[in-house]
Amino acid sequence: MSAGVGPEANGASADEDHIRLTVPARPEYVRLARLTASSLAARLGFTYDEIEDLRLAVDELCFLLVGPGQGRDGIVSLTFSTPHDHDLVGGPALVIVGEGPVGPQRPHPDSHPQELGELRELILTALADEYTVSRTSDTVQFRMVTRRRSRT
Amino acid sequence: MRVDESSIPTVDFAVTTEVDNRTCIVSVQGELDVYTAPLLRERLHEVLAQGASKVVLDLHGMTFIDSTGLGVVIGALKRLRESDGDLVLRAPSRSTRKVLDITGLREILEIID
Repeated sequence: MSAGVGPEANGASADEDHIRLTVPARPEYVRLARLTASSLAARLGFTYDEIEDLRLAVDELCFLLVGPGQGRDGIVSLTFSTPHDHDLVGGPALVIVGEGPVGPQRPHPDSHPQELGELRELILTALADEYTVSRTSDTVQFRMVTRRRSRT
Repeated sequence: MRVDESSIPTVDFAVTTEVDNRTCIVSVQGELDVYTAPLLRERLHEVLAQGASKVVLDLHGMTFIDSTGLGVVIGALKRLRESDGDLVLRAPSRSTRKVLDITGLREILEIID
């Protein structure tokens, strides 16, 4: 596991702070993504409910990078960005970009994978302001933007 | 009544089961996610295999649930209803109720306080 804070740590733009988290692609590390996201959102003034929504959304997207069971071979790389110019992203916002390895398709022990995929999509559609997921032959990537709705 | 507890100490997650005749109270403490859900699944399979026909899933101490956790709950609910049993949720948090609303599961799951 490694982490870094920009711009010194990773050459990030002066227009935004970048926090990078690199962890093994295993389920036990998804919690770290939730913790990092909620900590940064609290710094941005997100409310408790907004932070709860964010924690769930980032968890669902990270699941796509680690999968069920014992996880996957390889690492998950997450970049959390907080743009300084709020006009660019429509207000105080947290942008999270993730990338991880593609895993084998395994039958889920509880439900048909399609059912769980539908639940995940319902959650993400309701809770993330914007999100995209893309896949190549060997990686899965996502990008999510969550804005603070409340005023301080 | 028999009481058993299983936990994952490193992430403060625990599942306690209290079996009384054919009713079982399963209490969840901590965050139910892709890492911890297998422990709850295992405990639910055990109580169902022991003949429980009604499961009360006490969520008073559960601080997080994602789609993987919901999948475990749905899986147990399906198995119970196939044998004329049932599963009810007790004391879910506001954020858990919100997830149940978003996913439409509140319509098929009974909730008690």
